[in-house]
Amino acid sequence: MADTEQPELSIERFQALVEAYGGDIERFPRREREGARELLRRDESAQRLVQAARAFDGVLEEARLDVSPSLIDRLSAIPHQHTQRAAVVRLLPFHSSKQTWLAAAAAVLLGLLGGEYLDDEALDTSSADITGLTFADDLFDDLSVQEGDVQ
Amino acid sequence: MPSDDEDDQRLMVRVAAGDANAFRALVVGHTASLLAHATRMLRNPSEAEEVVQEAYVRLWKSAPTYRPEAKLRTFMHGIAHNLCIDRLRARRKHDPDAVEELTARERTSGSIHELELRARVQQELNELPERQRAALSLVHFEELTNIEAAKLLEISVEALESLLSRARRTLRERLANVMEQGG
Repeated sequence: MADTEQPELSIERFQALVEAYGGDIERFPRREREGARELLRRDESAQRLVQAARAFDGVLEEARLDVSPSLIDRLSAIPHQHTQRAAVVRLLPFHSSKQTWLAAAAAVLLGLLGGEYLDDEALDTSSADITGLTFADDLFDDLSVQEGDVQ
Repeated sequence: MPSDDEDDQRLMVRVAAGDANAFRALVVGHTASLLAHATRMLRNPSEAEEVVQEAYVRLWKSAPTYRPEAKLRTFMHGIAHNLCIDRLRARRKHDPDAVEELTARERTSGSIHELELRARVQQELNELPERQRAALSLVHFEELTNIEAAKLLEISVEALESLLSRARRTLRERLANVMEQGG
């Protein structure tokens, strides 16, 4: 819809606007507001329409709802309960969770294959190392740091 | 009171960086409007709070990839509105008669002399058809522009105006006695 002003407004269109948007001309479509104000200044039937609509708007206002402070507090705690989805992805050159998990699987596979060539001492891994491999996010954080360290 | 649009965009930049204080500022600025719309759509305050919470969780999680293609207020209302629609569809799927039973119960719950004005207006709003209720909620109460509301509801501005007119006409008829008593 075009947004240019249309100063001329018929009383029929004015009535249709009042029936849809009520008595507050600021709620009318932007391009028809000036024409509505002009008509309202000079036309008594337009003034009666707006007066009746404003009375009804006042009744509708009774249905406005309040919000409790406890809800605000609960919602404000969301950042402490949820991780932002893209935080890991931003560190890595992958663009979807599918790619991310494929990369994780590839990293684990490479690690296992690489282990075949290590001696027994090197294979004596601690439980902390294994635990680290089970959390993909931690693994990615480690990988991204290593990437940054490579010159 | 809705936040200023430019302030919202600045806050979103901070939220994307993980700033919990900026997130709280958005919560303070937008919750009343989102909650009111969800309550009108679902006619259940508890479910409405759940929807608003889910909308904010989604906003928080996706904040780093958020692109300001629309006002944040419109974006948030879009999330909340779609969550409401999902719940309404699920209700109908599980119990097709649920909405009608609720409406019938409300209709017989008392006369105008027994009910507070606020409750009566809310009751009549609740009984409007879903699309009319959504249109009136977005434009009258949440003060979205006609273009924003039409886009959110995926209809033309002309169709939006038709929904609004029918909603107001129905409410005016049903609340005529309330208006007469109010002078």
